[in-house]
Amino acid sequence: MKTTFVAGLAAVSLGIALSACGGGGSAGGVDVVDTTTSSAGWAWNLPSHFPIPKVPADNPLTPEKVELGRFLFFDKRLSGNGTSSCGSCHQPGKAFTDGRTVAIGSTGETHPRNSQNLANVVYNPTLTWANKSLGSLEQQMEVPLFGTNPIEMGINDINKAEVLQRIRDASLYADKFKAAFPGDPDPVTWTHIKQSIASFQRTLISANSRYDQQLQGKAALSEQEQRGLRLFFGEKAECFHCHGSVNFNDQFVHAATRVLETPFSNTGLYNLGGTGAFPEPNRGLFELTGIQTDMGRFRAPSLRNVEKTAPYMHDGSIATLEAVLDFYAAGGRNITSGPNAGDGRQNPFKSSLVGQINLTEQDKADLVAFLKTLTDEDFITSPQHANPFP
Amino acid sequence: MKHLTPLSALTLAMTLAACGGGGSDSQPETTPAPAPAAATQDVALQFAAVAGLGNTPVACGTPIAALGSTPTTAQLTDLRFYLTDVKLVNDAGAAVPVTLDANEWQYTTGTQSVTLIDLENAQGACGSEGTPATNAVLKGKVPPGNYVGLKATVGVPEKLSHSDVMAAPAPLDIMAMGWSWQTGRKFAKIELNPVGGVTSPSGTGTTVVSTYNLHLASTDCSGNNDGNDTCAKKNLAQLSFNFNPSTQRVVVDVAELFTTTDIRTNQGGAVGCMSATSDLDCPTVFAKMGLDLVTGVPTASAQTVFRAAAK
Repeated sequence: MKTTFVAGLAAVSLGIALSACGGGGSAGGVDVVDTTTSSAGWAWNLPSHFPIPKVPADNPLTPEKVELGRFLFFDKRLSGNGTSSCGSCHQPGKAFTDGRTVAIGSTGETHPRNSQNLANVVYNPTLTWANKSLGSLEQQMEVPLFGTNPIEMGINDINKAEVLQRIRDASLYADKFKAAFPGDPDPVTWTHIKQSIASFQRTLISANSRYDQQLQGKAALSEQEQRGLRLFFGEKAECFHCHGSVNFNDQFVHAATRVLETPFSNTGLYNLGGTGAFPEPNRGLFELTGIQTDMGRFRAPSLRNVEKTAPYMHDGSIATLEAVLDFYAAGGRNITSGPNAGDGRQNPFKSSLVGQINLTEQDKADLVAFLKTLTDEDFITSPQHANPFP
Repeated sequence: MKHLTPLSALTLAMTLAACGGGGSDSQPETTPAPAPAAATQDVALQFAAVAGLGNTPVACGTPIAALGSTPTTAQLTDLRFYLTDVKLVNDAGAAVPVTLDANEWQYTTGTQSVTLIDLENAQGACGSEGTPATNAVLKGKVPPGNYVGLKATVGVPEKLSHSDVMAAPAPLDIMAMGWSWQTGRKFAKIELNPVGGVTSPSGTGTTVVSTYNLHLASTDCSGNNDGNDTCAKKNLAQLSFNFNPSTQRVVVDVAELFTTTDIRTNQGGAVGCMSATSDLDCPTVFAKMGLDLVTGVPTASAQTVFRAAAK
């Protein structure tokens, strides 16, 4: 929590410093080192308030791998039955979400959770909603590709050779694999597929929203958006505690990270029967640790492009940004009837950072206006992020 | 054949031991230095799936009667497990490591080794994820001796467990044994399709699904996903019982495994037990495997699912 708070403060001071000096280059924050060599071979083109991302030494970024990864990410041949790609649930136009309450896999099975946005996923030290075990994109990818609970892409021992052969047989890939993995006589391998898709994902940088442009002195926020910004980073709304990094979350890793914390938080979304329980099968970190106080603890998602990523929460149970603000203003959600009845505001495991806050209708409107400044149209429409298949 | 193979292998091993590798086939029995005995005696540990103390054989595609706390007929949909740290106990009471032969079911690197025992053949309901090939034997070598006991761990050494399933050598390349959400391997995958299905909570009501699962594996894992992840809850079941490899085999008793579990009903979470500490369906099967679900360490009471039985 200490680090979370520091990160929040840093973001505040960063915002203030830049607002005050009009984006005059150095922001004085801790996250603006731009000289690391860890990403040699790849031009990040980041604004100065974004630190250089961390990339695994055994999978350096190259333009060829990234481009191959983009094709594979959107290729339905990469599912057991050929009906789904990564892009089915992570659509660029919806900031790499799918607009559904919860995702649906290639065989029609419903996923228990809401599809996550992938903007700036390279900065996530843990992946998915509440799993501290998944730290690399290469590893995480095995869950959707090969997982059976639920089935997402549906690749298994029976069809894995056939799926790989489909990729091998697709003429468009021959040159792309050779270019991405030069010198390898048989470059079409699962390891290379995973490395390529992960490379593409690492380049999904969203850093050119109006908020970012404003930090650089390239755009101005309206009065209302500025009021929302002050509320967001202020002690009244306190959003920044959990959404205070440059990626608007509280788990953030980059090439120069020295101390990493990976908080997960219970926000009072449920409190079944007053026991603190969250409904199956979405009980958060508790499912891993079995520690009662981990009940309902999930990773705070990035709010970048949040306007495009509805519905919200791990289970997609809040439909609109306005309703999300009502939820946080109340300090949780009181469900009065049905199987999920219980007063989430009183959840005994709720984060102490989620208290009742008195937001006026104007405050909420201002916050929503600010959150919409995090929409990055370049990110959403970039040809480099687009589905190459008709 | 099953009776003859170990004996003939033993004969072969003795023949080779007598030759001493000296190139001559007439070398006398000199044995100058009693150095640590070389592992030259072949062993072949046979495994079989059964139901009940009568050791009724079970197989994919054939209904198994009276499984679970409310006796229910069920079909096997999977039965595979990894073994590691396999030792035979000699008549002096010493536990001697079995040096595994190299084959597609066994892998050794340095001091770590693993064997996949695969008792499903993709027939019947096992076809959903199963493979036609089976492996009911662990093959290796021990120093010459008289062996009276078996010790083994159901599991995969942590470093091998967290290798890349898509790039790992056999038998660590079986995707169905992957454990992607915790970056490792399933140690045991034992599944049943009970008649009438499994009633499972779903939203405001219930739904019926086909398969009751036991996926036994480590949980609460962390690390950089670079192959060096470690898990707080190891969940490594320990086998230790009297055993004569010449006359006995190891049976895996699916009736015993589920005898205190109602396989018709999933109480919550993953259907059946997928080793989550919070999974209400795990305590009963974990107890049978001799494991404490909360800590992930073996319990004072030994497992009761694996035992020795006559070949």
